[in-house]
Amino acid sequence: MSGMFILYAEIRKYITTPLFRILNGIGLGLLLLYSFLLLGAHQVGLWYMTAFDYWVGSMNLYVTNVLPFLFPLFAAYTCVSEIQWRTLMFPCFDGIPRRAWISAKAALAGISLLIFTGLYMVVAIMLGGSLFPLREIYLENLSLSPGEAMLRVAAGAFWIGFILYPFGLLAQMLAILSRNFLVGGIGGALTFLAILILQSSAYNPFRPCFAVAQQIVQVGDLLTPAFLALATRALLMNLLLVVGLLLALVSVFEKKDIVLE
Amino acid sequence: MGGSNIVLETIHLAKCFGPVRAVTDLNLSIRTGEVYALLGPNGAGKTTTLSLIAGLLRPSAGTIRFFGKPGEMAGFIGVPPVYPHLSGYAHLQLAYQSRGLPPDLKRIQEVLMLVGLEQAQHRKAGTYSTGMRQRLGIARALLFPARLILLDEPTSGLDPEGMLEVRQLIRTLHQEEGITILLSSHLLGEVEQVANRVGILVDGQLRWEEDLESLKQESRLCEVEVSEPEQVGEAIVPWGTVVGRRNNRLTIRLHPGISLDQLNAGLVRNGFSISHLSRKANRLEAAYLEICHGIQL
Repeated sequence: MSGMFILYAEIRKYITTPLFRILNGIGLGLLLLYSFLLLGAHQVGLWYMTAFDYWVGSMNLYVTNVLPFLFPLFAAYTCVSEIQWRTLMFPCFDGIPRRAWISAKAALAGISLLIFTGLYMVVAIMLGGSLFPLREIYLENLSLSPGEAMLRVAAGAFWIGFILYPFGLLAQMLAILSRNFLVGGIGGALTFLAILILQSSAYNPFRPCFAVAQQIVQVGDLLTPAFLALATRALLMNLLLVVGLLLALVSVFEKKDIVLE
Repeated sequence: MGGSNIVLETIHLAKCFGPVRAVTDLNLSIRTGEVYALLGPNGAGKTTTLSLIAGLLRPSAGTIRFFGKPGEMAGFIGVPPVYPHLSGYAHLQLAYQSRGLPPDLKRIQEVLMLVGLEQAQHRKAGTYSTGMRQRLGIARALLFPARLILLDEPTSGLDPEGMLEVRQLIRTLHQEEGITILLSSHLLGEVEQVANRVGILVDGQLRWEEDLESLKQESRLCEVEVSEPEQVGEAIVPWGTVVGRRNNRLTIRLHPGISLDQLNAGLVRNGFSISHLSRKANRLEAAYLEICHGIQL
Protein backbone atom coordinates (compact mmCIF):
# COMPACT_ATOMS: atom_id res chain seq x y z
CA MET A 1 0.00 0.00 0.00
CA SER A 2 2.80 2.43 0.91
CA GLY A 3 4.30 1.65 -2.51
CA MET A 4 1.20 3.22 -4.08
CA PHE A 5 1.68 6.35 -2.00
CA ILE A 6 5.33 6.61 -3.03
CA LEU A 7 4.26 6.22 -6.65
CA TYR A 8 1.56 8.86 -6.23
CA ALA A 9 4.15 11.26 -4.78
CA GLU A 10 6.50 10.50 -7.69
CA ILE A 11 3.77 11.17 -10.26
CA ARG A 12 2.87 14.42 -8.55
CA LYS A 13 6.50 15.53 -8.62
CA TYR A 14 7.26 14.71 -12.22
CA ILE A 15 4.03 15.37 -14.12
CA THR A 16 4.45 18.99 -13.06
CA THR A 17 8.05 19.36 -14.25
CA PRO A 18 8.73 21.73 -17.16
CA LEU A 19 10.59 18.91 -18.96
CA PHE A 20 7.52 16.69 -19.00
CA ARG A 21 5.47 19.47 -20.54
CA ILE A 22 8.18 20.32 -23.06
CA LEU A 23 8.59 16.70 -24.20
CA ASN A 24 4.84 16.28 -24.60
CA GLY A 25 4.77 19.62 -26.40
CA ILE A 26 7.43 18.42 -28.85
CA GLY A 27 5.33 15.38 -29.74
CA LEU A 28 2.14 17.39 -30.15
CA GLY A 29 3.94 20.14 -32.08
CA LEU A 30 5.27 17.58 -34.56
CA LEU A 31 1.80 16.10 -34.86
CA LEU A 32 0.33 19.48 -35.73
CA LEU A 33 3.03 20.09 -38.32
CA TYR A 34 2.48 16.62 -39.79
CA SER A 35 -1.29 17.20 -39.88
CA PHE A 36 -0.87 20.57 -41.57
CA LEU A 37 1.34 19.12 -44.30
CA LEU A 38 -0.89 16.12 -44.93
CA LEU A 39 -4.04 18.21 -44.94
CA GLY A 40 -2.45 20.53 -47.49
CA ALA A 41 -1.49 17.60 -49.69
CA HIS A 42 -4.96 16.12 -49.28
CA GLN A 43 -6.75 19.39 -50.09
CA VAL A 44 -4.82 20.06 -53.31
CA GLY A 45 -5.40 16.48 -54.42
CA LEU A 46 -1.74 15.52 -54.21
CA TRP A 47 -2.38 12.73 -51.79
CA TYR A 48 -5.70 11.19 -50.93
CA MET A 49 -5.88 10.14 -47.31
CA THR A 50 -8.42 8.54 -45.01
CA ALA A 51 -8.46 8.99 -41.26
CA PHE A 52 -6.99 5.48 -40.91
CA ASP A 53 -4.02 6.36 -43.14
CA TYR A 54 -3.45 9.48 -41.08
CA TRP A 55 -3.63 7.56 -37.81
CA VAL A 56 -1.16 4.91 -38.97
CA GLY A 57 1.18 7.57 -40.34
CA SER A 58 1.07 9.72 -37.23
CA MET A 59 1.52 6.66 -35.02
CA ASN A 60 4.58 5.56 -36.98
CA LEU A 61 5.99 9.06 -36.91
CA TYR A 62 5.72 9.27 -33.14
CA VAL A 63 6.21 5.84 -31.64
CA THR A 64 9.10 4.77 -33.83
CA ASN A 65 10.87 8.08 -34.44
CA VAL A 66 10.12 10.53 -31.64
CA LEU A 67 9.02 8.61 -28.56
CA PRO A 68 12.18 6.40 -28.53
CA PHE A 69 14.11 9.61 -27.78
CA LEU A 70 11.63 11.42 -25.57
CA PHE A 71 10.76 8.54 -23.28
CA PRO A 72 14.27 7.30 -22.34
CA LEU A 73 15.32 10.90 -21.77
CA PHE A 74 12.45 11.47 -19.40
CA ALA A 75 12.96 8.11 -17.68
CA ALA A 76 16.63 8.96 -17.09
CA TYR A 77 15.67 12.43 -15.91
CA THR A 78 13.39 11.01 -13.19
CA CYS A 79 16.46 9.48 -11.54
CA VAL A 80 19.23 11.99 -12.29
CA SER A 81 17.18 15.06 -11.38
CA GLU A 82 16.95 13.74 -7.81
CA ILE A 83 20.76 13.65 -7.68
CA GLN A 84 21.04 17.13 -9.18
CA TRP A 85 18.38 18.60 -6.90
CA ARG A 86 19.90 16.56 -4.02
CA THR A 87 16.39 15.45 -3.13
CA LEU A 88 17.52 11.84 -3.10
CA MET A 89 18.26 12.37 0.57
CA PHE A 90 14.53 12.69 1.30
CA PRO A 91 13.71 8.99 0.88
CA CYS A 92 16.79 8.12 2.95
CA PHE A 93 15.55 10.24 5.85
CA ASP A 94 11.94 9.15 5.33
CA GLY A 95 13.01 5.56 5.89
CA ILE A 96 11.91 4.48 2.42
CA PRO A 97 13.91 1.41 1.36
CA ARG A 98 16.00 2.01 -1.73
CA ARG A 99 14.31 -0.94 -3.42
CA ALA A 100 10.87 0.66 -2.97
CA TRP A 101 12.09 4.02 -4.19
CA ILE A 102 13.72 2.74 -7.38
CA SER A 103 10.74 0.50 -8.07
CA ALA A 104 8.52 3.58 -7.85
CA LYS A 105 10.81 5.28 -10.37
CA ALA A 106 10.45 2.32 -12.72
CA ALA A 107 6.67 2.44 -12.34
CA LEU A 108 6.73 6.20 -12.88
CA ALA A 109 8.57 5.61 -16.16
CA GLY A 110 5.79 3.24 -17.23
CA ILE A 111 3.09 5.72 -16.32
CA SER A 112 4.87 8.56 -18.10
CA LEU A 113 5.10 6.32 -21.18
CA LEU A 114 1.36 5.73 -21.02
CA ILE A 115 0.76 9.47 -20.78
CA PHE A 116 3.19 10.30 -23.62
CA THR A 117 1.55 7.74 -25.87
CA GLY A 118 -2.02 8.25 -24.70
CA LEU A 119 -2.02 12.03 -24.98
CA TYR A 120 -0.48 11.93 -28.44
CA MET A 121 -2.82 9.25 -29.70
CA VAL A 122 -5.95 10.97 -28.34
CA VAL A 123 -5.00 14.18 -30.15
CA ALA A 124 -4.00 12.26 -33.30
CA ILE A 125 -7.28 10.34 -33.35
CA MET A 126 -9.31 13.48 -32.85
CA LEU A 127 -7.40 15.36 -35.55
CA GLY A 128 -7.58 12.43 -37.97
CA GLY A 129 -11.31 12.02 -37.40
CA SER A 130 -12.04 15.70 -37.94
CA LEU A 131 -9.63 16.46 -40.81
CA PHE A 132 -9.85 13.34 -42.98
CA PRO A 133 -12.69 11.11 -44.22
CA LEU A 134 -13.77 8.41 -41.82
CA ARG A 135 -14.22 5.33 -43.99
CA GLU A 136 -14.39 1.68 -43.27
CA ILE A 137 -11.16 -0.06 -44.19
CA TYR A 138 -10.30 -3.46 -45.53
CA LEU A 139 -7.50 -5.47 -43.98
CA GLU A 140 -7.02 -8.60 -46.02
CA ASN A 141 -10.60 -9.81 -46.43
CA LEU A 142 -11.97 -8.23 -43.31
CA SER A 143 -13.89 -4.95 -43.23
CA LEU A 144 -13.29 -2.74 -40.17
CA SER A 145 -15.44 0.17 -39.10
CA PRO A 146 -13.66 3.50 -38.43
CA GLY A 147 -14.01 2.83 -34.69
CA GLU A 148 -12.39 -0.59 -35.00
CA ALA A 149 -9.65 0.86 -37.17
CA MET A 150 -9.00 3.52 -34.58
CA LEU A 151 -8.71 0.89 -31.83
CA ARG A 152 -6.27 -1.11 -33.96
CA VAL A 153 -4.00 1.91 -34.38
CA ALA A 154 -4.18 2.77 -30.69
CA ALA A 155 -3.40 -0.85 -29.80
CA GLY A 156 -0.41 -0.77 -32.18
CA ALA A 157 0.88 2.42 -30.56
CA PHE A 158 0.57 1.06 -27.03
CA TRP A 159 2.17 -2.21 -28.07
CA ILE A 160 5.23 -0.37 -29.40
CA GLY A 161 5.20 1.61 -26.16
CA PHE A 162 5.32 -1.70 -24.31
CA ILE A 163 8.36 -2.76 -26.38
CA LEU A 164 9.97 0.58 -25.59
CA TYR A 165 9.42 0.36 -21.81
CA PRO A 166 12.47 -1.80 -20.94
CA PHE A 167 14.67 0.74 -22.74
CA GLY A 168 13.42 3.34 -20.29
CA LEU A 169 14.60 1.07 -17.47
CA LEU A 170 17.93 0.73 -19.26
CA ALA A 171 18.10 4.53 -19.52
CA GLN A 172 17.43 4.82 -15.78
CA MET A 173 20.20 2.37 -14.98
CA LEU A 174 22.70 4.10 -17.27
CA ALA A 175 21.69 7.45 -15.80
CA ILE A 176 22.28 6.29 -12.24
CA LEU A 177 25.66 4.85 -13.18
CA SER A 178 26.75 7.90 -15.18
CA ARG A 179 24.88 10.51 -13.10
CA ASN A 180 23.93 12.13 -16.41
CA PHE A 181 20.44 11.99 -17.91
CA LEU A 182 21.65 12.64 -21.45
CA VAL A 183 23.97 9.62 -21.28
CA GLY A 184 21.13 7.51 -19.88
CA GLY A 185 18.51 8.84 -22.29
CA ILE A 186 20.60 8.65 -25.43
CA GLY A 187 21.97 5.24 -24.39
CA GLY A 188 18.45 3.87 -24.00
CA ALA A 189 17.24 5.50 -27.20
CA LEU A 190 20.12 4.32 -29.38
CA THR A 191 19.80 0.75 -28.09
CA PHE A 192 16.11 0.74 -28.99
CA LEU A 193 16.77 2.26 -32.42
CA ALA A 194 19.46 -0.34 -33.14
CA ILE A 195 16.96 -3.08 -32.36
CA LEU A 196 14.28 -1.33 -34.39
CA ILE A 197 16.54 -0.99 -37.43
CA LEU A 198 17.54 -4.65 -37.17
CA GLN A 199 13.96 -5.81 -36.63
CA SER A 200 13.90 -7.96 -39.73
CA SER A 201 17.13 -9.77 -38.83
CA ALA A 202 16.59 -13.44 -38.01
CA TYR A 203 18.91 -13.05 -34.99
CA ASN A 204 17.01 -10.14 -33.46
CA PRO A 205 15.24 -11.47 -30.35
CA PHE A 206 12.76 -8.61 -30.63
CA ARG A 207 11.59 -9.70 -34.05
CA PRO A 208 8.31 -11.19 -32.75
CA CYS A 209 7.59 -7.97 -30.81
CA PHE A 210 7.82 -5.80 -33.93
CA ALA A 211 5.97 -8.38 -36.01
CA VAL A 212 3.03 -8.16 -33.60
CA ALA A 213 2.97 -4.36 -33.94
CA GLN A 214 2.89 -4.61 -37.72
CA GLN A 215 0.23 -7.29 -37.79
CA ILE A 216 -2.09 -5.33 -35.49
CA VAL A 217 -2.56 -2.73 -38.25
CA GLN A 218 -2.06 -4.95 -41.28
CA VAL A 219 -3.77 -8.29 -40.60
CA GLY A 220 -7.52 -8.69 -40.77
CA ASP A 221 -8.29 -11.43 -38.28
CA LEU A 222 -6.13 -11.28 -35.15
CA LEU A 223 -7.72 -14.24 -33.45
CA THR A 224 -5.79 -16.83 -35.39
CA PRO A 225 -3.62 -19.41 -33.58
CA ALA A 226 -0.55 -18.15 -35.46
CA PHE A 227 -1.01 -14.56 -34.34
CA LEU A 228 -1.87 -15.51 -30.76
CA ALA A 229 1.26 -17.69 -30.54
CA LEU A 230 3.37 -14.87 -31.91
CA ALA A 231 1.84 -12.36 -29.50
CA THR A 232 2.35 -14.70 -26.53
CA ARG A 233 6.00 -15.23 -27.46
CA ALA A 234 6.53 -11.50 -27.85
CA LEU A 235 4.75 -10.75 -24.58
CA LEU A 236 6.82 -13.27 -22.61
CA MET A 237 10.03 -12.10 -24.24
CA ASN A 238 9.37 -8.48 -23.35
CA LEU A 239 8.17 -9.29 -19.83
CA LEU A 240 11.32 -11.30 -19.25
CA LEU A 241 13.39 -8.34 -20.35
CA VAL A 242 11.41 -5.98 -18.10
CA VAL A 243 11.87 -8.22 -15.06
CA GLY A 244 15.58 -8.72 -15.80
CA LEU A 245 16.22 -5.01 -16.19
CA LEU A 246 14.17 -4.17 -13.13
CA LEU A 247 16.21 -6.58 -11.02
CA ALA A 248 19.43 -5.15 -12.45
CA LEU A 249 18.22 -1.60 -11.75
CA VAL A 250 17.38 -2.44 -8.12
CA SER A 251 20.67 -4.25 -7.65
CA VAL A 252 22.72 -1.37 -9.08
CA PHE A 253 20.93 1.20 -6.96
CA GLU A 254 21.03 -0.78 -3.72
CA LYS A 255 24.81 -1.08 -3.77
CA LYS A 256 25.57 2.39 -4.99
CA ASP A 257 26.76 5.27 -2.85
CA ILE A 258 24.50 8.26 -3.31
CA VAL A 259 26.85 11.17 -3.86
CA LEU A 260 24.75 14.28 -4.31
CA GLU A 261 25.76 17.28 -6.43
CA MET B 1 25.93 -1.57 23.78
CA GLY B 2 23.36 1.03 22.97
CA GLY B 3 21.91 1.79 26.39
CA SER B 4 18.45 3.26 26.53
CA ASN B 5 19.75 6.83 26.48
CA ILE B 6 21.71 6.30 23.28
CA VAL B 7 19.98 7.37 20.07
CA LEU B 8 22.72 6.52 17.65
CA GLU B 9 26.09 4.88 17.72
CA THR B 10 28.74 4.13 15.17
CA ILE B 11 31.12 1.28 15.78
CA HIS B 12 34.48 1.25 13.99
CA LEU B 13 32.83 3.07 11.11
CA ALA B 14 35.00 3.57 8.04
CA LYS B 15 34.47 4.89 4.54
CA CYS B 16 36.97 4.83 1.70
CA PHE B 17 36.62 6.45 -1.71
CA GLY B 18 39.16 4.48 -3.70
CA PRO B 19 42.51 5.02 -1.96
CA VAL B 20 41.18 7.97 0.07
CA ARG B 21 40.08 7.22 3.63
CA ALA B 22 37.33 9.72 4.34
CA VAL B 23 36.34 8.24 7.70
CA THR B 24 38.47 5.92 9.81
CA ASP B 25 37.49 3.80 12.80
CA LEU B 26 34.84 6.23 14.00
CA ASN B 27 33.13 5.41 17.29
CA LEU B 28 30.40 7.89 18.17
CA SER B 29 27.55 7.71 20.68
CA ILE B 30 24.82 10.29 20.54
CA ARG B 31 22.75 10.53 23.73
CA THR B 32 19.06 11.35 23.93
CA GLY B 33 18.34 15.05 24.24
CA GLU B 34 21.80 16.38 23.48
CA VAL B 35 23.10 18.61 20.72
CA TYR B 36 26.27 16.97 19.51
CA ALA B 37 28.49 18.99 17.19
CA LEU B 38 30.99 17.43 14.84
CA LEU B 39 33.67 20.03 14.39
CA GLY B 40 36.50 19.95 11.92
CA PRO B 41 38.18 21.74 9.04
CA ASN B 42 36.99 21.33 5.45
CA GLY B 43 37.62 17.79 4.24
CA ALA B 44 37.73 16.36 7.77
CA GLY B 45 34.96 13.87 7.02
CA LYS B 46 31.99 15.58 8.70
CA THR B 47 29.64 15.46 5.73
CA THR B 48 30.76 11.92 4.88
CA THR B 49 29.97 10.86 8.43
CA LEU B 50 26.49 12.40 8.29
CA SER B 51 25.89 10.90 4.84
CA LEU B 52 26.81 7.46 6.20
CA ILE B 53 24.44 7.89 9.12
CA ALA B 54 21.63 9.08 6.83
CA GLY B 55 22.14 6.04 4.58
CA LEU B 56 23.25 7.93 1.50
CA LEU B 57 26.65 6.26 1.56
CA ARG B 58 27.39 2.62 2.25
CA PRO B 59 30.07 2.05 4.93
CA SER B 60 33.32 0.39 3.85
CA ALA B 61 33.54 -1.13 7.33
CA GLY B 62 31.89 -0.86 10.71
CA THR B 63 28.32 -0.52 11.88
CA ILE B 64 25.77 2.23 12.41
CA ARG B 65 23.07 1.59 14.98
CA PHE B 66 20.08 3.89 15.12
CA PHE B 67 17.83 3.17 18.07
CA GLY B 68 14.67 4.36 16.40
CA LYS B 69 12.24 3.28 13.72
CA PRO B 70 12.83 3.97 10.03
CA GLY B 71 11.79 7.53 9.31
CA GLU B 72 12.52 8.76 12.86
CA MET B 73 15.71 10.37 11.67
CA ALA B 74 15.31 13.70 9.92
CA GLY B 75 17.42 16.55 8.65
CA PHE B 76 19.57 17.42 5.68
CA ILE B 77 23.11 17.17 4.38
CA GLY B 78 24.59 20.36 2.93
CA VAL B 79 22.22 22.98 1.52
CA PRO B 80 18.71 21.58 1.99
CA PRO B 81 17.42 20.15 -1.28
CA VAL B 82 14.26 21.35 -2.98
CA TYR B 83 12.17 20.45 -6.00
CA PRO B 84 12.54 23.76 -7.82
CA HIS B 85 9.15 23.60 -9.55
CA LEU B 86 7.14 22.87 -6.40
CA SER B 87 6.07 25.26 -3.65
CA GLY B 88 7.31 25.01 -0.08
CA TYR B 89 3.83 23.91 0.94
CA ALA B 90 3.83 21.15 -1.70
CA HIS B 91 7.16 19.91 -0.32
CA LEU B 92 5.62 19.33 3.08
CA GLN B 93 2.54 17.67 1.57
CA LEU B 94 4.81 15.37 -0.43
CA ALA B 95 6.71 14.46 2.73
CA TYR B 96 3.50 12.96 4.09
CA GLN B 97 2.56 11.25 0.83
CA SER B 98 6.03 9.69 0.49
CA ARG B 99 5.51 8.08 3.89
CA GLY B 100 2.09 6.81 2.93
CA LEU B 101 0.26 9.28 5.18
CA PRO B 102 -2.50 11.78 4.42
CA PRO B 103 -1.12 15.35 4.77
CA ASP B 104 -1.79 16.90 8.18
CA LEU B 105 -2.57 20.43 7.02
CA LYS B 106 -2.65 21.82 10.57
CA ARG B 107 0.81 20.48 11.36
CA ILE B 108 2.12 21.82 8.05
CA GLN B 109 0.91 25.31 8.97
CA GLU B 110 2.40 24.97 12.46
CA VAL B 111 5.88 24.14 11.24
CA LEU B 112 5.73 26.75 8.48
CA MET B 113 4.93 29.31 11.16
CA LEU B 114 7.65 27.98 13.46
CA VAL B 115 10.32 28.44 10.79
CA GLY B 116 8.85 31.70 9.50
CA LEU B 117 7.90 30.53 6.00
CA GLU B 118 4.15 31.04 6.14
CA GLN B 119 4.27 34.07 3.82
CA ALA B 120 6.35 32.29 1.16
CA GLN B 121 4.72 28.85 1.42
CA HIS B 122 3.07 29.02 -2.03
CA ARG B 123 6.12 30.34 -3.88
CA LYS B 124 8.14 27.90 -5.98
CA ALA B 125 11.00 26.61 -3.85
CA GLY B 126 13.40 27.22 -6.75
CA THR B 127 13.04 30.94 -6.04
CA TYR B 128 13.88 30.58 -2.33
CA SER B 129 17.07 32.08 -0.90
CA THR B 130 19.56 29.82 0.88
CA GLY B 131 18.13 30.90 4.22
CA MET B 132 14.60 30.03 3.15
CA ARG B 133 15.78 26.64 1.93
CA GLN B 134 17.44 26.04 5.30
CA ARG B 135 14.16 26.89 6.99
CA LEU B 136 12.17 24.67 4.63
CA GLY B 137 14.65 21.85 5.33
CA ILE B 138 14.18 22.31 9.06
CA ALA B 139 10.39 22.52 8.60
CA ARG B 140 10.44 19.19 6.78
CA ALA B 141 12.54 17.70 9.56
CA LEU B 142 10.02 18.90 12.14
CA LEU B 143 6.89 17.51 10.47
CA PHE B 144 7.16 14.12 12.09
CA PRO B 145 8.28 13.11 15.58
CA ALA B 146 12.01 12.59 15.15
CA ARG B 147 14.40 10.82 17.52
CA LEU B 148 17.37 12.44 15.83
CA ILE B 149 17.84 15.42 13.55
CA LEU B 150 20.99 15.65 11.42
CA LEU B 151 22.03 19.12 10.33
CA ASP B 152 25.06 19.55 8.13
CA GLU B 153 26.49 23.05 8.51
CA PRO B 154 23.03 24.47 9.09
CA THR B 155 24.10 28.12 8.89
CA SER B 156 26.37 27.76 5.89
CA GLY B 157 25.70 30.39 3.24
CA LEU B 158 23.40 32.45 5.44
CA ASP B 159 23.65 36.15 6.20
CA PRO B 160 24.20 37.14 9.86
CA GLU B 161 20.47 37.50 10.53
CA GLY B 162 19.79 34.13 8.96
CA MET B 163 22.54 32.52 11.05
CA LEU B 164 21.07 34.01 14.17
CA GLU B 165 17.59 32.74 13.29
CA VAL B 166 18.76 29.20 12.56
CA ARG B 167 20.82 29.05 15.77
CA GLN B 168 17.82 30.25 17.71
CA LEU B 169 15.71 27.60 16.00
CA ILE B 170 18.19 24.88 16.95
CA ARG B 171 18.16 26.06 20.56
CA THR B 172 14.35 26.08 20.54
CA LEU B 173 14.20 22.56 19.12
CA HIS B 174 16.57 21.32 21.77
CA GLN B 175 15.29 23.22 24.79
CA GLU B 176 11.55 23.28 24.11
CA GLU B 177 10.97 20.17 22.01
CA GLY B 178 13.77 18.10 23.57
CA ILE B 179 14.98 16.90 20.18
CA THR B 180 18.35 15.22 19.85
CA ILE B 181 20.48 16.95 17.23
CA LEU B 182 23.68 15.91 15.53
CA LEU B 183 25.16 18.79 13.60
CA SER B 184 28.38 19.48 11.79
CA SER B 185 30.08 22.81 11.62
CA HIS B 186 33.42 24.48 11.29
CA LEU B 187 32.25 27.58 13.15
CA LEU B 188 33.56 27.42 16.72
CA GLY B 189 31.39 30.24 17.99
CA GLU B 190 28.26 28.59 16.62
CA VAL B 191 29.13 25.26 18.22
CA GLU B 192 29.78 26.92 21.58
CA GLN B 193 26.39 28.58 21.41
CA VAL B 194 24.24 25.58 20.50
CA ALA B 195 26.02 22.32 21.40
CA ASN B 196 26.32 20.31 24.60
CA ARG B 197 29.00 17.98 23.36
CA VAL B 198 31.66 18.35 20.72
CA GLY B 199 33.74 15.92 18.73
CA ILE B 200 36.63 17.12 16.60
CA LEU B 201 37.21 15.21 13.40
CA VAL B 202 40.53 15.46 11.60
CA ASP B 203 41.34 13.41 8.51
CA GLY B 204 38.31 11.24 9.14
CA GLN B 205 39.31 10.36 12.70
CA LEU B 206 37.64 11.47 15.90
CA ARG B 207 40.60 13.06 17.65
CA TRP B 208 38.84 14.64 20.60
CA GLU B 209 35.45 14.56 22.27
CA GLU B 210 34.28 16.57 25.23
CA ASP B 211 31.28 17.93 27.08
CA LEU B 212 31.26 21.67 26.55
CA GLU B 213 30.26 22.29 30.16
CA SER B 214 33.08 20.21 31.60
CA LEU B 215 35.39 21.80 29.06
CA LYS B 216 34.59 25.17 30.55
CA GLN B 217 35.47 23.81 33.99
CA GLU B 218 38.65 22.22 32.80
CA SER B 219 40.03 25.16 30.86
CA ARG B 220 43.77 25.49 31.34
CA LEU B 221 44.03 29.00 29.93
CA CYS B 222 43.58 31.94 32.27
CA GLU B 223 44.07 35.68 32.30
CA VAL B 224 45.92 37.48 35.09
CA GLU B 225 46.40 41.18 35.60
CA VAL B 226 49.35 41.88 37.93
CA SER B 227 51.48 44.82 39.03
CA GLU B 228 54.82 43.66 37.55
CA PRO B 229 53.95 41.37 34.64
CA GLU B 230 57.49 41.07 33.26
CA GLN B 231 58.59 39.22 36.41
CA VAL B 232 55.74 36.74 36.44
CA GLY B 233 57.21 34.37 33.84
CA GLU B 234 59.94 32.91 36.07
CA ALA B 235 57.90 33.07 39.26
CA ILE B 236 55.04 30.89 38.01
CA VAL B 237 57.14 28.06 36.51
CA PRO B 238 55.74 25.49 38.99
CA TRP B 239 52.11 26.29 38.04
CA GLY B 240 52.05 27.33 34.41
CA THR B 241 53.55 29.17 31.44
CA VAL B 242 52.94 32.67 30.14
CA VAL B 243 51.64 32.35 26.55
CA GLY B 244 50.55 35.93 25.84
CA ARG B 245 50.64 39.47 27.15
CA ARG B 246 48.74 42.68 26.52
CA ASN B 247 49.88 45.59 28.82
CA ASN B 248 49.55 44.27 32.37
CA ARG B 249 47.29 41.40 31.37
CA LEU B 250 48.94 38.00 30.89
CA THR B 251 47.51 34.84 29.37
CA ILE B 252 48.80 31.83 31.28
CA ARG B 253 48.44 28.14 30.40
CA LEU B 254 48.25 26.13 33.60
CA HIS B 255 50.11 22.86 33.95
CA PRO B 256 47.79 19.82 34.03
CA GLY B 257 46.18 19.40 37.46
CA ILE B 258 46.90 22.95 38.58
CA SER B 259 43.86 24.95 39.68
CA LEU B 260 43.22 28.67 39.48
CA ASP B 261 43.40 28.84 43.30
CA GLN B 262 46.87 27.28 43.32
CA LEU B 263 48.09 29.83 40.77
CA ASN B 264 46.52 32.63 42.79
CA ALA B 265 48.24 31.43 45.99
CA GLY B 266 51.58 31.06 44.20
CA LEU B 267 51.45 34.59 42.79
CA VAL B 268 50.49 36.07 46.17
CA ARG B 269 53.29 34.13 47.89
CA ASN B 270 55.73 35.63 45.38
CA GLY B 271 54.55 39.12 46.26
CA PHE B 272 52.53 40.00 43.17
CA SER B 273 49.52 42.24 43.51
CA ILE B 274 46.66 40.71 41.51
CA SER B 275 43.88 42.93 40.18
CA HIS B 276 42.20 40.36 37.88
CA LEU B 277 42.27 36.58 37.58
CA SER B 278 39.88 34.53 35.41
CA ARG B 279 39.67 31.54 33.12
CA LYS B 280 40.00 32.45 29.45
CA ALA B 281 36.80 31.94 27.52
CA ASN B 282 38.02 30.48 24.21
CA ARG B 283 38.78 26.94 25.39
CA LEU B 284 37.18 25.29 22.40
CA GLU B 285 39.20 27.43 20.06
CA ALA B 286 42.36 26.42 21.93
CA ALA B 287 41.48 22.74 21.71
CA TYR B 288 40.53 23.05 18.05
CA LEU B 289 43.71 24.84 17.04
CA GLU B 290 45.86 22.41 18.99
CA ILE B 291 44.17 19.31 17.56
CA CYS B 292 43.68 20.48 14.00
CA HIS B 293 46.74 22.62 13.45
CA GLY B 294 49.11 21.82 16.35
CA ILE B 295 48.97 25.46 17.51
CA GLN B 296 49.16 25.95 21.27
CA LEU B 297 47.62 29.11 22.65
